[in-house]
Amino acid sequence: MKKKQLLLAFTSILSIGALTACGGNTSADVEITVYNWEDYIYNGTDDNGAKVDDSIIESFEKKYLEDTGKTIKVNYKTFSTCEEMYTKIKRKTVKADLCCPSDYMIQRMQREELLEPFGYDETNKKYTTGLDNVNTYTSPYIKTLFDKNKLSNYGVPYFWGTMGYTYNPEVVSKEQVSTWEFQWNPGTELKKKITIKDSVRDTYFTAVMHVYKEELDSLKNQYKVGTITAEAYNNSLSEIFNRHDDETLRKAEEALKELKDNVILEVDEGKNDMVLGSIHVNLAWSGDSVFSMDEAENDEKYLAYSVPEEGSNVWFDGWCMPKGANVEASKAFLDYLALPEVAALNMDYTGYTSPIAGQAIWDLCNEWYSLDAYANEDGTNDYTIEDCDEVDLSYFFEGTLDDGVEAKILIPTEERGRQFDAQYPSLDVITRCAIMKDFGEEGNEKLHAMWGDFKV
Amino acid sequence: MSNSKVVDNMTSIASRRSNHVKEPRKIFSIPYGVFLVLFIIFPILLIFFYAFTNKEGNFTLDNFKSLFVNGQASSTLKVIGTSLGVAALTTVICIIIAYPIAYILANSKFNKNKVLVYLFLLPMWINFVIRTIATKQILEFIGLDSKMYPWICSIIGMVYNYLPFTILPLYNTMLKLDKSQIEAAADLGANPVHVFFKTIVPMTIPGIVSASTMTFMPTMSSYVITDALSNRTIQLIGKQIESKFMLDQLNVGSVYAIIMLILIGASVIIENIFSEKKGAR
Repeated sequence: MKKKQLLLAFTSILSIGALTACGGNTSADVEITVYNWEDYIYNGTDDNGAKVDDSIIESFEKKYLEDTGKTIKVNYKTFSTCEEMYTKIKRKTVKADLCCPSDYMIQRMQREELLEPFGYDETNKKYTTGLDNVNTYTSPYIKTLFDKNKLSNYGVPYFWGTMGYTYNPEVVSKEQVSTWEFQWNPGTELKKKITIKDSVRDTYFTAVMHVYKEELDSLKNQYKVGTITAEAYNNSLSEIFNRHDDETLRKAEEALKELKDNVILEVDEGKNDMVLGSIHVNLAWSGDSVFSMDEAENDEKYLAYSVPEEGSNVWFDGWCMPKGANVEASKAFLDYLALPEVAALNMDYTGYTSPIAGQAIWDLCNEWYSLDAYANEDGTNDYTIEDCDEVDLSYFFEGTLDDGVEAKILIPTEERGRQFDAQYPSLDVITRCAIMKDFGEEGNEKLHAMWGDFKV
Repeated sequence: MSNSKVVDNMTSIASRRSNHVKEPRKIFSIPYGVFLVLFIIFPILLIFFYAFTNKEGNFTLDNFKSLFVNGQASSTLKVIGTSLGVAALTTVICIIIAYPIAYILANSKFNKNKVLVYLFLLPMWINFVIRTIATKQILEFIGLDSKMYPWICSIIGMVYNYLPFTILPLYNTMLKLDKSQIEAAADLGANPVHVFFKTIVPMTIPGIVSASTMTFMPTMSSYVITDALSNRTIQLIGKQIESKFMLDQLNVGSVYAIIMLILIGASVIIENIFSEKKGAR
């Protein structure tokens, strides 16, 4: 099955190449180029790769024609790492109207004045023109996060999530993976059965969490007993999380070097290796973890997801307009993506969580995860209300649902720590997650030098 | 052999022509001239420009310093050492495997229709990235997990990919072997081992040298193979160039490119010394 998918992936890559190769001269009125992560948008295919529907791009092109009477051609290009995207945009090897960097990279591109502003009204917390759906449907949590990090004017959120371990509960216990220390002391049997990311920032922060474990633990205790507020806790955590002074770098490098016998570096293969069972723990973005869990279920294997207790990363990818972009058409595309129905399609396809809230997304979430989703065909259900936890997601859905709908969902206790928790982390998890900040030019250089040193 | 005849014909045609019309011949060289400037000379100048300048474009030696003087020196040397090691190991194994194969191919009656030669060249018709992914699967299937044995897997992958490049030059030399010398040695009482080491090997030295360079030079930087088959644990010089450029560190990346140019230049010079000694070419 996996092999078939691999084959499909190859053919789709080849066909994308062919499409872009011959898509040079079109007679569309407007043309925009969208530069996105690989496999990060609904392409109209089902699980087997057969084309069943319009892709998001195709349906947008139709919608645009309906709304404006003008034809539009969307060129779609992909990249596999944020740094690659940055270099190509900066050197103008790719001329894109929209690109989709991660949090810290948005800050960096903004700092280097590579981006066009969207026009954000700080006082009313709204985009001024052309992004009505984004204004209406974006989750209040994500909005606050963007405002707090001063990203709203240059970025429109696309997907978000946390970082943690996907693990095989048959081999690894939940306790083991509830701390980053696991990487350093996996026990002999799990050596080289763990993968972490061959991506500077994502692996560096795990080392920082290891180096400052005591400080983090004491912070957490202070928060637990109530001496500091959730916000103060998160702020201090965020400061530690983003440390990159010389001493931290040196300690982190030492810590990383200790990892060499325990872990394998990967960027894309890990999520599939988890399904195949060739590894038992994978440091993963929540969306990839959902992918692994879904795929493994097809083979009757049950994987789980855990965000370590010391704290972790809450990340997001957002759309940005490089200088010289077609602002009007780009906004139209983003506003289309922000429709809850469209966001739902993307979520279903990628396994990542959309920052769009809204009733359609809430319904989808219930359809997938609530108690009713476990009903058998004859109407009976293996779980009863007593077997369930009531999870409150109002931090995310507040103010975007239909009148009288409460953002509370019943999840079978046995299913906790799986797809649902990966897609919608509880408030508790979010409180201990920090955002990656740009380290500045000098900081980046030092970090990359350290990383290069560690890798050889 | 028919090939060389064709080439002979062409050169004679060309020389005859050139006697009559000199101008058109220059025109024919223009496409190559353009190609040479655009894709070889200009990029090399660019590499040197980047290597000796900083981000603002001012002259500096910091890029070299950052790789050889400061704290990174040990990792730079390690990368160079690893690259040379992987290349040398691959080359030696390739020659050991290819030599008998080439000899058999060159002397086999069955080979009249070149079926065997084609069998060995066949994998080259498939793109090497696809071949490498397939190699990984096959190795895992026979129990060689690339996570556990990164070096063994990478070397197997390298040898598999570059074996045809080793076989071909050896095969070409062995086709031209002077059979009468071998027969004479045997007639004069040399045992098979002596025949092999005293006549066959010396006669095939030019083949061995060019096979070695054909294998050694590209393996130093074939990081796609090591990336896939060592799970990124073996870092070749090519990988360094790639990752520096990806991180927008064009200047340091260019220094690595120059290091590679020097290493390749050195192996070409060594090849020439050997070839001249044996009076080949």
